Amino acid sequence: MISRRRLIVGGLGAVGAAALGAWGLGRLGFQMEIASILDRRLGFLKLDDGGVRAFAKDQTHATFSKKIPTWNRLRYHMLASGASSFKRFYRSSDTHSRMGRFEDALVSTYLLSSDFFWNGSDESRKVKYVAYYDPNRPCHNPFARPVVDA
Amino acid sequence: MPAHYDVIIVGTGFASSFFLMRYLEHAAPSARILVLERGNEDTKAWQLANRQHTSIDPDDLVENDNPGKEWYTSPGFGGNSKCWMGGTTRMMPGDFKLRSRYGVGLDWPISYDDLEPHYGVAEQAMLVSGPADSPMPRTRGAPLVPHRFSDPDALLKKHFPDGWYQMSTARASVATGRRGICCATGICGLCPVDAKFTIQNGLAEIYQDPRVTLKLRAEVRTVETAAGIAQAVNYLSAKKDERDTADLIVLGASALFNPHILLRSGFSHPLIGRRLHEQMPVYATIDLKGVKCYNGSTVLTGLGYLFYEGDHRAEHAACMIETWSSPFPYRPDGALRLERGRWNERLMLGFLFDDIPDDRNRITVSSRDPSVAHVHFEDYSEYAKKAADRIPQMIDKLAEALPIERIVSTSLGTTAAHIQGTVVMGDDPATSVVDRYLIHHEYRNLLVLGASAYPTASPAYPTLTVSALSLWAADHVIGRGTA
Repeated sequence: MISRRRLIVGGLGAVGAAALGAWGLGRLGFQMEIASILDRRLGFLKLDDGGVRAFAKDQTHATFSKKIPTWNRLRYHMLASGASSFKRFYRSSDTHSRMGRFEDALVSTYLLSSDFFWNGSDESRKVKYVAYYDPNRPCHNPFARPVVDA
Repeated sequence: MPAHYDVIIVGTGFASSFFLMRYLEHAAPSARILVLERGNEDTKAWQLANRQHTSIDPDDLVENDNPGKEWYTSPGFGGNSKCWMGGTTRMMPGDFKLRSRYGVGLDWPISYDDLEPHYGVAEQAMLVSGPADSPMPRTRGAPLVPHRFSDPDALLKKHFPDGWYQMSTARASVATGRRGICCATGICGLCPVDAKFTIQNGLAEIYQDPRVTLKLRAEVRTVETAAGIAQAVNYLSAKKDERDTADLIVLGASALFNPHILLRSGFSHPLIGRRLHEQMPVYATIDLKGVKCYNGSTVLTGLGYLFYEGDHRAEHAACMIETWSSPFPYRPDGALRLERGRWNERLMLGFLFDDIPDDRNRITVSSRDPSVAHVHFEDYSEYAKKAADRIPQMIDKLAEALPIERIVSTSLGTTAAHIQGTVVMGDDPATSVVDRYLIHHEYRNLLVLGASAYPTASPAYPTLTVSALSLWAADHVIGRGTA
């Protein structure tokens, strides 16, 4: 006969394992979704498969390891989402869906993380993933031109 | 025992630092100056390591009634110079004369000509980069060469030679010895190459002066007055209540906290805290045909003055347009144009409208926690909104120079990060709190510096005017100014 204690411990263990599995599967699913979006939106480019996988992994890590916002920030966002101020000027007239914006941000981040723009947006070259785009990396605007050309 | 100083200055941002800079040039070797800063040192190395410009959450200092409006501030040494974007436009002459020229708003008690020499000094101290030509009269040019236009800027300049200019900015266009060259990274709040002027990289030495004592983590609570004189400052430091006295007390704690301190101190002028305002910022994303964008040399490359000065100001707000030149996806509608071969044929413009201050928009002391400023903001004025309604017509005008395909979106920004009003200046003590030299009308040894003194907004970025006003006030205090 299984003791009550064993039952509880076993139950907790099963729930924990399921949660871990779901978390892992969730991450894996997210990575696969990222790769599929890049493939669909940038299919006309020669993407390096290993690089796409690496980007998907890094993007997933970045998404899941985001700092938890402070209570003040959370409260602000909750209140702001229901705000009806400035009626004539809603936050944006952009008609893009949330999913559309997410995809745009993702594809933009991938392109900025790659060597595509640094190679003059040359579609005939294989696009290589360089490093996950970090807005804090200095001088990482591929279009910028210096004050005086060298 | 309280210590006695010649001057106590509250805050270490632009207003306080430019006042201190000029004051030290003329102060006696024996002068004693105490500077009280609420925040921490937050060095550049700390900021980069922690990816934030302040170690104090600004949201902990402000209770905000209106969730549609943010109030952007950076406590700590150097104040908002840590997080600003480095825009250094001068105000236009008409901004000072709204009432007398256009019959709306209020006149400033001073004119453009009063501030003009001080603008030049502030531009020199910040090593501003700016155009050789200028929409406003000036007696000296910008110290650094202008930044490079993006392609749409160049087209706009060609078509509107008197309406479009290179950005006036404290983001360095050439290496200055202390600052790197701006390379349009696009995250000015935490510039990774320290290209923009900050108090930390540009004026820190004034705080090393042996006459100056800087106390960090000193939260000023009240200014004590008696017999028509400001006598002492009460503050919390290392969890202890402190009280120091001075001959001259200078508040430079921002338009959020100057009125907050005065109200906590029991000052009762009905305008203290009132007329909080900033520009109304609207952003537009526009697709162009065959014109490449984001290829200037800094994050904001052009300034449009086409809809700024003019008789329209009698009817609706003036507008200054800014060209964004960074492709990073920090705008909700996305900066890259995700169409084959047209990746950067997308232009992002900011439209900044001046607002007519409204008494209902105000700062009070939070009833929940008196160390917190309670911000009440109802709305922008109809004057500003009426002008923003005209954005499609403005874009039509720009289309004379640009091959515009479509307007992707327009969106109201949650903040212009230019907090103004709340301790307004004027000649009449009944309708203003401080005089033209930013001296309190009643307590003549108390100065209240910064954008809190602005009677009205201007579409221009306020920081250069804040700095020039502090130089103007310091000149008067030390007897160098005009009577």
